[in-house]
Amino acid sequence: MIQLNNVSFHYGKDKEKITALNNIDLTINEGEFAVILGPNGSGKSTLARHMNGLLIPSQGEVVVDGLSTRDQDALWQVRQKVGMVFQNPDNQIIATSVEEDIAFGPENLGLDPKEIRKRIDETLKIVGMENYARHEPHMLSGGQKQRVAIAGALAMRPKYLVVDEATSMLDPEGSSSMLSTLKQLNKNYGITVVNITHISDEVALADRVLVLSEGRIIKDGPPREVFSDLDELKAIGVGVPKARLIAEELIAVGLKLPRAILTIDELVNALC
Amino acid sequence: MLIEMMNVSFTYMPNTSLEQLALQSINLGIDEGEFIGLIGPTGSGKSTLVQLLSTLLIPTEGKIIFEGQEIGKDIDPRIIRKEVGLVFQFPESQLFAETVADDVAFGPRNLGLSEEEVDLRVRDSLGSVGLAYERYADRSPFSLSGGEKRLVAIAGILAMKPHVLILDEPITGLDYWGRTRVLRCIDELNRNGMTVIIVAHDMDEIAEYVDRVAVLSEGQIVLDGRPKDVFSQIDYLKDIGLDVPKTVELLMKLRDRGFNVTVESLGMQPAISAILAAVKEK
Repeated sequence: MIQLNNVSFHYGKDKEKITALNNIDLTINEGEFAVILGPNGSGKSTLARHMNGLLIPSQGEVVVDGLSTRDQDALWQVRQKVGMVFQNPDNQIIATSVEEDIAFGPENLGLDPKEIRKRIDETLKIVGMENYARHEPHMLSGGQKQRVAIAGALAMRPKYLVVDEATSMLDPEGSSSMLSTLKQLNKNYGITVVNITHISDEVALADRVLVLSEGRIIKDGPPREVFSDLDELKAIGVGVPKARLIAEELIAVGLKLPRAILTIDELVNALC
Repeated sequence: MLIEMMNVSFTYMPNTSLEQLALQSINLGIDEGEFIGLIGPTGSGKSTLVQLLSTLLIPTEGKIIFEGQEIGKDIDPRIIRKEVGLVFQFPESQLFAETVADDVAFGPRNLGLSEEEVDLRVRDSLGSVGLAYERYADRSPFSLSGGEKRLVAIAGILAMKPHVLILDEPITGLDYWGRTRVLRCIDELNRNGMTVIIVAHDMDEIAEYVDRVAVLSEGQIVLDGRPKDVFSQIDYLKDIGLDVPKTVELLMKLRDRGFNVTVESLGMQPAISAILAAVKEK
């Protein structure tokens, strides 16, 4: 369980102080697949960085399985439990070959070379990059690098995976395969997934959607419940899934459709 | 014809064990004033292609003609770099100056222009991206929103007065407002005569703006035409890892279920009308 108890975070000091998170109370439960939505500047990335202690709250506390991120001695353990994948893979890849990059984390755990090899092969397969083990990361495309970064996080066998805008650089196939990979990791391996995004079409897969605006959580619930009031979401700059926008237009001109539509397939079925 | 790529191929690290053919026999003509969407899955060669167009890379085979002159033979690639403005992915990561005005002025100053001319260009290009000079000039670029930062980066390129503007994934990573603002700005530039090429992997929002779509797959141009014709190849596009705009996907799926719909346009309103007509008919 990842708990944020009354967490606030400020950048800068005094006059220049900017409040990025404002009294956040939030519990991510084991086994959940949660999506955190919010416009640019709403505090999403700041929130993500609190979950594994990359940032320490200005006020309040973040507790992962009973370990506070304020406790320096526990931080190493926290980071092993909570894997992170960021938006820009160029900032995350360090080695000169794909397999060495993935090996970096496990090597630092002092694992047996055979086990490391196993994890490299396994994680590359999960992200569909098994043919690139010996390639140089800087020669890969943005989307391919992102898959390597995800494989690197998975090789640590984290209990929680926090993904910060990791699909925004991928092509549609890449991002839908990434989302189904995340869904699989969640379903088959029991990894808790927190997917931070501004792409509203990604919510349909989630059990739970949290909407962040100006450093506060303003909505928290199942996707269909959160997307029942569109005006409020649009007003804060959160896009609405395209299928839902089309459905709303059709309802406005007199068609009878359910209000819970989030995907094109749901809309097609409702129209037939 | 403004730019013509003739039988262009490009190989990374040729004659090594890591040799990789990124583009193969590309033939592509670009007319003055066109608004082109270049799409393709990751690794299909999109970024390589735009770097060739802006002469950051030189073809391993074939030639590129700019206004009738062959680049590298009849005309110096450095001249082309001024004519073809390239906005990289996440260009805001290249902002560095203390104020917005200084950042936009960096390029023109390096051209050795007078301060008067530099100032004029800064005002013009900030105006072109819809950022009021009085409001933004003295602000730190780092205090702006994601969409505004990207507009400043685009203004920095416009200040070089390019003939052609190429934008690599210009709306990736922006939220709803940011995307709308950047797209409207680019559309406006094109309406005012700029030749624009947008590179994207997701055409959902861009499809309504461009006049032409070229599709890259595994280093080759596999489709090139009007958006509605290109996106009607829904199965083929999905096969190579691309999506079609959601409106097209919906209309196609309805057609498969026996509705009488035609995919004549990509916008929201035409799609709504087509669905309504089909539903009434059924």
